[in-house]
Amino acid sequence: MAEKSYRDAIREAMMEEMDRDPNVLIMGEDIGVYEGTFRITAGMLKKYGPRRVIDTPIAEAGMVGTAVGMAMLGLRPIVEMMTVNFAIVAADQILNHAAKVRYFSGGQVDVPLVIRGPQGAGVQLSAQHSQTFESFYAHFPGIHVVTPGTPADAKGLLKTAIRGKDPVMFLESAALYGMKGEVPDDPDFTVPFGKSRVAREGSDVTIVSFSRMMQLSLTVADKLSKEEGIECEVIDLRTLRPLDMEPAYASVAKTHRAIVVQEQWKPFGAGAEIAASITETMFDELDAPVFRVTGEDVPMPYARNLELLATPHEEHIVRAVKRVMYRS
Amino acid sequence: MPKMGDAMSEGKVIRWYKKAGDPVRKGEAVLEIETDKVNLDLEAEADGTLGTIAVGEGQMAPVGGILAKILGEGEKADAPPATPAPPAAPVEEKPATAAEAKPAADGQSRRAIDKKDSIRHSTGEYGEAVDMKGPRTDRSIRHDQGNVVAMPQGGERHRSSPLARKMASEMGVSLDTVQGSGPRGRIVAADVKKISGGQAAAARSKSAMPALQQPAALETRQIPLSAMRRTIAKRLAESTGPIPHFYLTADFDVTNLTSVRQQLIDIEGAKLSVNDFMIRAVALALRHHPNINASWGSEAITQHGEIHIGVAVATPEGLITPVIRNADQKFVLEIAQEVRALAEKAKNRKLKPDEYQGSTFTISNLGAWGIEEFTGIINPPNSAILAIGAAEARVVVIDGQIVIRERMKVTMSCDHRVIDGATGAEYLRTLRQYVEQPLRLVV
Repeated sequence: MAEKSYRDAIREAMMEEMDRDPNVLIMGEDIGVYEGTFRITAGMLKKYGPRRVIDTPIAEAGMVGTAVGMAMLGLRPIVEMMTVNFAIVAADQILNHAAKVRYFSGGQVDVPLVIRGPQGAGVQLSAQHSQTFESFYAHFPGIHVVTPGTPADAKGLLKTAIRGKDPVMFLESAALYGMKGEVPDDPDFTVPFGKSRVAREGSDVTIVSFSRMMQLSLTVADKLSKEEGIECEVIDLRTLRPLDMEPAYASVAKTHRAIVVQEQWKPFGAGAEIAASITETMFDELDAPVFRVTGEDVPMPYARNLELLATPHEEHIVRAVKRVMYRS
Repeated sequence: MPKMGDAMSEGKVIRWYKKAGDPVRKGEAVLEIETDKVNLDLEAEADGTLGTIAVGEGQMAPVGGILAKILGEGEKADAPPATPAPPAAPVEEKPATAAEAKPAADGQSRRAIDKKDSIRHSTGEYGEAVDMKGPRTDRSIRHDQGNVVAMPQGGERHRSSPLARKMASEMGVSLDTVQGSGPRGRIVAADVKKISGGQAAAARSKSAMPALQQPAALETRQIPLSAMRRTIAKRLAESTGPIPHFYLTADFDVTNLTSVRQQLIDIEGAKLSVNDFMIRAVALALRHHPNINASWGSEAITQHGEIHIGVAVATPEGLITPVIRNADQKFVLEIAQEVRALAEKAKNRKLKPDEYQGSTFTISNLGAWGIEEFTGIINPPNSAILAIGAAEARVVVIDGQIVIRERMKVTMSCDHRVIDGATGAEYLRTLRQYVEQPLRLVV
């Protein structure tokens, strides 16, 4: 076990899998010679050469379309999106092809494709480059949606994605790239999809979250414990498709109150799905409505002060926790 | 306005889910009505567009009266009132509305109305467009405006969290006695916990009294008769007037029955009351005495071929008696579940007519209120009602010994036109055998 950054954990996962399986390759914009806009692919071109580390033109639909074809014929391509925002250009390839090929082929053809890249706000990239897409992709059957919130999960989940036989949207949090944490050294360390975890135990309120907002929830939980004696249980969903709600249900059975924290806008976001599932399944256990903490319903401003105002803040989570406890 | 029961002559419109001009589909709930016993959703009988609403929310309509029309394809929508009325206000009487409210005598009159509407359309008052501009009457929005929401007349709805309701039901605490501390008076788990100590103890020991709530200040006020209260008054007055009542009281030993009940609860984990056993006992005993399971008629007395037990249930609006059908053929656990489900529906006024009509015998149990004994008024066309008191430990003499036994008093009110004293007494003797030898009830 060694302390590594989220960024290095992702690079390590890819390089270990490229060492393990010659069919794994990576393609994307500025990932080779330039070594990646976020330095995720540093050193990879030198080590694996241009046949396996492919610099592409600025043509996301073409990149993903090419990768879908590669995957159908047995390769295991990873496509790096400079940010996940740019994958919208390739949405038809992702949602209408990658996610449908097995279904259309009657189960004969798999598409083992990983599309990965950073998303989210917090690094002043303004309205077009700060969005989060988990609910957009998780809406569609046929594709996995992964949202790691720790360096260890980033590595373990990415390895599961690369080894799997399904298309995966691997949504990294740009704001977590520098975050450090313990990461197992074992090259066969993987984290399975569809296994949510209890990131922090508590008895008073359940906070369901994922990715960066899960980290923010942990910070708030510690603060509330110290300052107010409120014990929050934080559930880290890890993957939104497949979605494992069982730990959240078990937690609600104990706390009888839940909030959901997401960076996305409120309408039709992942939090709505999670809150509705809790209400459908655990209705009789609830002592309060399930509240959502979300980003503000505006395009992300560039200005630092406005960007901070538009994204969920510790104080928002504190308010929601107190609201479900009837202490506000 | 459909006729939902023999006694129903008129009904009240509680609320419209749709407004004029809204599309409706066959089978979709269009409005809620209050009949003499229950609230019901009325469903559209055909696909189409809802025409002018003839009977506004809160207004009465006679059985057979027109509430609104569903316009088929090609039929023109009625123009909405110039300023759409708020939901509770009476509908403005306009010539077109009045004409619509009358059943169309023939196709011609309807065509005449259509023509009028199409002229109106051609002048630019396009129904839908006007409607879109009108004030919204979205029910979810009304809900958020706090105190301005008018409560339906009669019992006030408790706002309570699902957990609070579950806890209250498990602890046997009535939400009526709980003060809600949450937003808009919502009763939350903490409120139930606060009060449950006292109440649960009271439930365990009959001698302990529930905490007295601070009574509301006295005031003189008139409570308008609800349709339900009118029906109760009419039917019970009809009963004591023409029916010559007499009363038979018996004191049953229920020590064994309470023990069997406890064992069943332990084994099955089920919720079971003494009353559930009594429903089965009463039904089984009726099998032996078809002359009790009978109804008076001017030409003949009808003995019923099936045994349907009405169970009196108190609701905030008044008494209603959901019916356990063929109770002699059902297990106690089945009866218990059915009673619970029907009582819940009764409290929400969601009982359907076939769920509260057709009883052949009725029981009423005030044991839970600590009433030792009382007399019930016969629920026509039944010939008898059994009033059941509380089961409690009492000192009795058995074989010259003073012992403490669980005892319970029951009083049967009988219609003397159908049942004579001895006939009734024989029935109670049979009932006693079932109640005091409760294994007969569970085998």
